[in-house]
Amino acid sequence: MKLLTHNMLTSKILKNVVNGYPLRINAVKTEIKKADFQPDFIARMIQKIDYKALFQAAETLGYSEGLPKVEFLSDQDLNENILKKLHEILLEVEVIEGDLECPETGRKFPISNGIPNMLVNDEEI
Amino acid sequence: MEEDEKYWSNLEKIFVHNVYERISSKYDEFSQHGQKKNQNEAQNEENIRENCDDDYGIVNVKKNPKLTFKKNLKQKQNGILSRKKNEWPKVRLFLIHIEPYSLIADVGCGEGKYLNINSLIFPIGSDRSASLSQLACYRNASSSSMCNKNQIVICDNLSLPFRSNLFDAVISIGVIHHLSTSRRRILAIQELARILKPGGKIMIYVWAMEQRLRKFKSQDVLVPMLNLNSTSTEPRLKVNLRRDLSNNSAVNSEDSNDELVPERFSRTVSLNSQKNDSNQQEPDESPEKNSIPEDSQMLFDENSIKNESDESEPTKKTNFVDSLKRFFSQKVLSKEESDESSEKFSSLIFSKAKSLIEEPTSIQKYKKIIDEHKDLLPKNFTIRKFPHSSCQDTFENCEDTVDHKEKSDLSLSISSLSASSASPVNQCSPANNQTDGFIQSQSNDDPNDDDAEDRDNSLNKRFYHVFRKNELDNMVKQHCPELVIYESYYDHGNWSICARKEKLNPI
Repeated sequence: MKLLTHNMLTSKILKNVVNGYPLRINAVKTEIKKADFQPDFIARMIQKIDYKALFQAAETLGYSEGLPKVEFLSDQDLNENILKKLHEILLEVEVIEGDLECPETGRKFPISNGIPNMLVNDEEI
Repeated sequence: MEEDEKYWSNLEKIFVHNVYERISSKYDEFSQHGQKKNQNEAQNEENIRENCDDDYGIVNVKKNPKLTFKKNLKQKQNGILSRKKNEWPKVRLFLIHIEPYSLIADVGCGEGKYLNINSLIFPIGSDRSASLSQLACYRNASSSSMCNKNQIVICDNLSLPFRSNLFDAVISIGVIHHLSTSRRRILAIQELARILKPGGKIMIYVWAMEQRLRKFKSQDVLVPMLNLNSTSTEPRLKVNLRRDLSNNSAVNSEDSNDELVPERFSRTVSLNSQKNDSNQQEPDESPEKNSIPEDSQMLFDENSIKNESDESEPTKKTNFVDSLKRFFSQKVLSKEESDESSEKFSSLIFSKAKSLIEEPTSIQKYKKIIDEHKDLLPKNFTIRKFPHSSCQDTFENCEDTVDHKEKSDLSLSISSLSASSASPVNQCSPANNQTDGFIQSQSNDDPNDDDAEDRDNSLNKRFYHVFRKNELDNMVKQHCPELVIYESYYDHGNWSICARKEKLNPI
């Protein structure tokens, strides 16, 4: 599971959950896998992602070095270095084993073989 | 969840989810003949990542880790086939035309066949089946790509764990027809619309009730999986007999797409003279040893239709005589069998076959001929009933010339398809209870019964609600007004819609 994917996931499917976002990552095993750098893609994705959640996730995994805490205010901030750093945390870091935790209920969704399992039981929805 | 909801959800569990889990967990996608999963999975993963070709990504890891698809083509002659691409052309087109660097969702991605078509877009696949998700994740894993590893999320399509208004495009191909109530189907479509961004495009494919060569008796049906007995090392014959013995009359000239995809049935008469290895866990060809199964089910699998969407394959318009000729001219008997008897037999059949063409109720007579000359045939050769579809009156409504009184005696055995079927399918053994049509015959929703049904589902029947014309359109119009349909058509036995989510008016 890449952090780009993680940024899209929410536990709002559970009942009594208001936001369910962002999910907290408890990683047991992570790995880095090289990917082609496409600056246009990163620029597009920045508009979609919730930057704060991304920063939190990167911090949890220990990759937040060099990233600004606050979301970019202008295009000038988006220089090549920042884009490359974002590329790394969005596309190259993979959580292989661990779990995702709902911020409101604490319910854990397991991640195994890089695939998060967000299936819920009948009682939980 | 209400009691009622539970029933439908259990039904889907038995007749959809468990079936897919069963079949996908047994097979290693990367082996050609559906062999059992390799113990050494870690080794496999390594090989896969290094040696996958981008376009096809299917490598025979077991035989030769360095092999790419192109090399596999050469090996085709030895009877080793690579997995055939089986994407639907229009879905492929839809994906190719999505704006570069988009984020897309493939809900119900299965083994992920649509995930790597356009390398300029980033797909996130989701599926309920853990095993299928695994297959999708490792498919086409390439280190030199924007998406170097397919992102899959295991979830239920009625509660997608994604934020709203996110994806640039969403596809859901052959998924919604597995849902058992119209409320659930509507909910699924609403979820798809929810995760789509305003201005984004969506494509949905569902199996159509209106088919050319078969007629569904009802909209809710159970369709068995075909027997893909590729565990035997015996060479298999594939004979494409035109389903309508009367000369292509069923081809609808209006539907130009369908012409390239004759809904022919591949029937393989297995002339296994040897029993299969006892190494194989499940008995190969178990129906062969049994008597004729009571119910007849049509040789039809969703995948067999989808497979034939490969438009590069030329349409074979063979007639019955040619097919038989080809069939019997190939030597499939083992060394122990006498060649003489086979030649005798084949020439006999050939001469008879010619005369059969003129007579309408030929199948019955064909059977008689085979019966008469049984002693010339290898031991395990039996004539089996021609499996029908889930509806009993198939033949009544087809242009086939078979007398429907005799349809219960139809006698071509269907033992396997060629290995071109993309999704691995399970062994087929005669089911104990052949409930035709929908599960209405089950009035009991006792949980114990569900397990029994699951155990009995040895044919791996899957539940489908087949859609009538305009049903999908009306559903979308009525329950998802934010989706504006811009294209709606019939494609290879499916109803399909493409729609756009309306942009919110700026305040």
